[in-house]
Amino acid sequence: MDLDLLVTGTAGAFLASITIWVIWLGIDAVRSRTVSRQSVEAEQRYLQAKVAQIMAQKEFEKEKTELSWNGFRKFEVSERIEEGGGICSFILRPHDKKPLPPFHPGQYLTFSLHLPDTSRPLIRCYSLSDCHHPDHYRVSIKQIDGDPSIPGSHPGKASNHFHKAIRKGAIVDVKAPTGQFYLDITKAPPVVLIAGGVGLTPVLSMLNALVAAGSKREVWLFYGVRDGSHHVMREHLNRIALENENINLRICYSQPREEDRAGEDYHHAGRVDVALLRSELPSSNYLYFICGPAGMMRTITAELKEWGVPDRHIHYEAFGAATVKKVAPSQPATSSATFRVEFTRSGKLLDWDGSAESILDFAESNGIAIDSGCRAGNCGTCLTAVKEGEIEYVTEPGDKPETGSCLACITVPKGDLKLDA
Amino acid sequence: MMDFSKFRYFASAYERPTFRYRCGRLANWGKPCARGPNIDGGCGGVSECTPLYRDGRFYCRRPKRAGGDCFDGPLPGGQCSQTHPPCAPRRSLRVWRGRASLAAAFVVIALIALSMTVPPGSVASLAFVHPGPLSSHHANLSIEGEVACPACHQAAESTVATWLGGITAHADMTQQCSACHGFAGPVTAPHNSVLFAETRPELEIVECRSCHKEHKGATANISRLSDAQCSTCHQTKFNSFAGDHHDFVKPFPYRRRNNLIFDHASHIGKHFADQKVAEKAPTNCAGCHDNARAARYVPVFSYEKTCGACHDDQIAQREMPVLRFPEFDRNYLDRDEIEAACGPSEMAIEKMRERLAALEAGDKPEDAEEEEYYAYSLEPATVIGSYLTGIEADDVEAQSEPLQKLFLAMATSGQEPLIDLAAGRTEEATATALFAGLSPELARRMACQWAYNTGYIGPDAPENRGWTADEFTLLYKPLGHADPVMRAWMDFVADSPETAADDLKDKAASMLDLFADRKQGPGACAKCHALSNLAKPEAAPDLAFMWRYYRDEKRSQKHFNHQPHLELSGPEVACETCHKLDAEADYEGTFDGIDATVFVSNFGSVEKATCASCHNETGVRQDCTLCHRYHEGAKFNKPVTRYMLRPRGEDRDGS
Repeated sequence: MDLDLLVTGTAGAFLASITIWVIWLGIDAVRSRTVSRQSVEAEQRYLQAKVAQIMAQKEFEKEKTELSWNGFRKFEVSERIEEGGGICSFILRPHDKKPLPPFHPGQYLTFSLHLPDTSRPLIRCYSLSDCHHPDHYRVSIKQIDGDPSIPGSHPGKASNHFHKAIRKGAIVDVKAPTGQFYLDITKAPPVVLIAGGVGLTPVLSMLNALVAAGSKREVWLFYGVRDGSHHVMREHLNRIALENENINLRICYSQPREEDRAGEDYHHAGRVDVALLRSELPSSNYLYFICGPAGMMRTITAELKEWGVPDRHIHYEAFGAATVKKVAPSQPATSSATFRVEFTRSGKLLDWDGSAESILDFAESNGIAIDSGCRAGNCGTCLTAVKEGEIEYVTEPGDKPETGSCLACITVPKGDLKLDA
Repeated sequence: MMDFSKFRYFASAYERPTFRYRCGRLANWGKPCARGPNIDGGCGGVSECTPLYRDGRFYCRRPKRAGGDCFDGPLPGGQCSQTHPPCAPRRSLRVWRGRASLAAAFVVIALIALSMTVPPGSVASLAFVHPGPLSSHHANLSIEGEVACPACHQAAESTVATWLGGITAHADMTQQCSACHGFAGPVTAPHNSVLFAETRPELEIVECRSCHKEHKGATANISRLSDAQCSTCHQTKFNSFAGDHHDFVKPFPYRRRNNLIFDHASHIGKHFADQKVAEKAPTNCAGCHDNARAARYVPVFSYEKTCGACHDDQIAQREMPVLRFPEFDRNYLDRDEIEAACGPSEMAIEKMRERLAALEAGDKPEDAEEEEYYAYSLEPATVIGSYLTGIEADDVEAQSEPLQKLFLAMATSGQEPLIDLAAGRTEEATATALFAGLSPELARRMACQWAYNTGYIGPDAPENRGWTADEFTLLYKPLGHADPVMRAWMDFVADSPETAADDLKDKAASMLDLFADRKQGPGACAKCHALSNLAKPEAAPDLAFMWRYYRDEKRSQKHFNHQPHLELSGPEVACETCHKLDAEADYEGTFDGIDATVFVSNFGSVEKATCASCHNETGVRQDCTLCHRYHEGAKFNKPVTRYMLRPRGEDRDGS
């Protein structure tokens, strides 16, 4: 082989490789500079978006604070809408026509009702069932009739009052929206909304709020009713599900009637349970918002925990009898113990034997009047001062009162107690 | 102590030095993400973790240092909910170093390549490829008048091809060195040791240029080794002789006894002090040892100048009885044959005279009758004779006939029958040497007398030196020191126990006992010349009388020169500084045996401390090569000058 050719070839290849390497170095330098600049800009946009979100939250809080009111405000019922299934929606407009503060979807209004046959006003809480509108609120209320099959059940005083006595143009006393069961629509995690019967109302508010905000969050709504006659807001829900790809609607009839068509009226025959969620959802990584009958909430909550969902991701609305208690109702340890509970204003000294569910029940059964509303530790109507002794909550209060006070509806004594009542 | 757990993956974003990329957020804002760049340089921090799927749920795996499990948890599809815009990871220091190294390599290669573009023939003139001038020993290596790089560097032809070939060629140059330089053992074995080459093959070969560095300039001493170079291989490291060197193995430096038996203690302590010899006795070491020729050894003056002054007379006094006229049982010889060889005996002549006188007187004498034999000699045969003839010295019946026949043969042929007899025991030349100087006349006369069964009486008085005979015995009296006949006999006798046939072993041993007797031995040779076994311990003995001073040639790598030490102070003190006479030592007893390695020295061991008193940090040199030589038997393989002048292209095998 020609040696000179070999040498020339080797040198040429060597020089070429150096040249290519140097050019590549230059290209690489320019490219990394560009990529670096782009990444800085992207980071900038990301931070700006974060700031914007925080500012929006601040704005919301500011607006809420500025427009909110203390105590009761007069609202006029501008409209009544029969939703079917014994549910009626009431559109409330402020009597003073001033703009309304925004609220978190899922929060409720506290009403003070003056029933003709009671001396005291009746305090009740009803969830807002629509998203925020500056000029009106909407609540949807189901009329509760006493169920003869359930012992001790009696017709709802307040719901019947709404359905029968409150007509268009009526004036009601309403506290500002409040409640811990709400969806922060500025956040992004996908949500599963579970509604049983009239428990749809706060969930509907959340759904509407998400749609109104144009959120692209993945949303699942599992709505369980007995049959088509209880299936309210049917068209509204179907339309939302149709118009928004990110919203998935699953209707469950526990006892479908003959005329209810599977696949059209409902998707699943049976109750809403975690087995259904497991079959429908890719995983359990969602935020859960549950509102419905107590039994349903208890079962689903327990099963979700079993599925690995942490407590912080499970939200449920607690109202009166539907309260999901954190401790079992029967307490053998405390039932045998006897504490002395003194009601100083009434001047009564009584023995607590553990048979009553709460101090409120205990007081009422002994003829001591304590104002009450939701009876689930949310409305704060039953706030009572504790003069001496220690108390314990059977469930987590929605808005924990200051030290020295207690919410009597969810409180039991831990020892001898002295209350200002 | 440092807590290294703080560098664990969940605890810190410690930047591993082997990573090719570093986090872009770290580079931009000093706040790295918890995950760091991907292996391909992409941002690995777009999400904060890779969730784990188990039993229908994804679990967050965000490390503790990044906050642990996040509040929102993974998305339903398994993606992390905490996302960030990707950063632009930067290349790490390692990559920049690598680029710098590569660039440097390119520059070096380019420079080498550039050097090759210079026309052939002028490569060596470029300063940056020239390794430097040669030492003066090698500077004149030339081929056709030009500097001859190829004499050592095979690849140093001035063409690009050989240069490129040199990249892969093995260039230890040992082969080229050994063309001129030779050694007693294998060239590449450590210390040229045959022993190492065979018994310790695990030792790596040693190339010449491992130690000898050329191109250091004309005056550079390229043969000098530093202590550090020795320590490269030797597992026992020395910082200095005075500090670390072990004590000398006692008795230093002696490894075997002397060849010559000279008891320094008895001579200095007793004999030299004797008033009778005071005139002849040396006054100090220099009386016998020649300081002028001092080197590794201080040689002794000649025998004549030293020992001979007192011991010369003793040599001739110790005669060697070679052959004896012993007792015979009867006559086996025909008188006529003796007369044919020797002429009539004195007795026969006397009788003939008597017969003649009787005849003249008119008597008629009767014929002489056969006389009854009687033994003239009652001596035993000599030990030497017994060995040569193979007959027991006192066996009268057995020896009578063969010896009488020997005498008759000698009467005819002089010393030849004796030489023939000796030739049966050793080589012809040795046999001749044994009887060198023995005149045929003496042999014949002596043999005739003995054949006639009478004692020998020479015409003159017996000689004081050389071959002679008395009435019954043929004797040899040494002429003086280093008498060749005597030495031939000593060598013959020392060899005989090995060379003798089995039935003669006893006789050979008796003969050796006679000669090795330090008090009575012939010629008094064995008085000073030790009888030693030259064979290795397990081999058959190889005995020899030692004629020369012992020289420890096998320890050639230990180098010591007496000369500079003697010059430091006078000879009187100089010797005794190191060589301390040991008057108690049983020096003479050392020579009772034949094993030279079992010995007691006349002098105490030379101590390391004695050397170290001068050879230390503040004094004289103490490096390894002052005493030890690396090479064994260094020499030139061929006439070096002719090799240097031989024109290029000629056959280089030196023939």
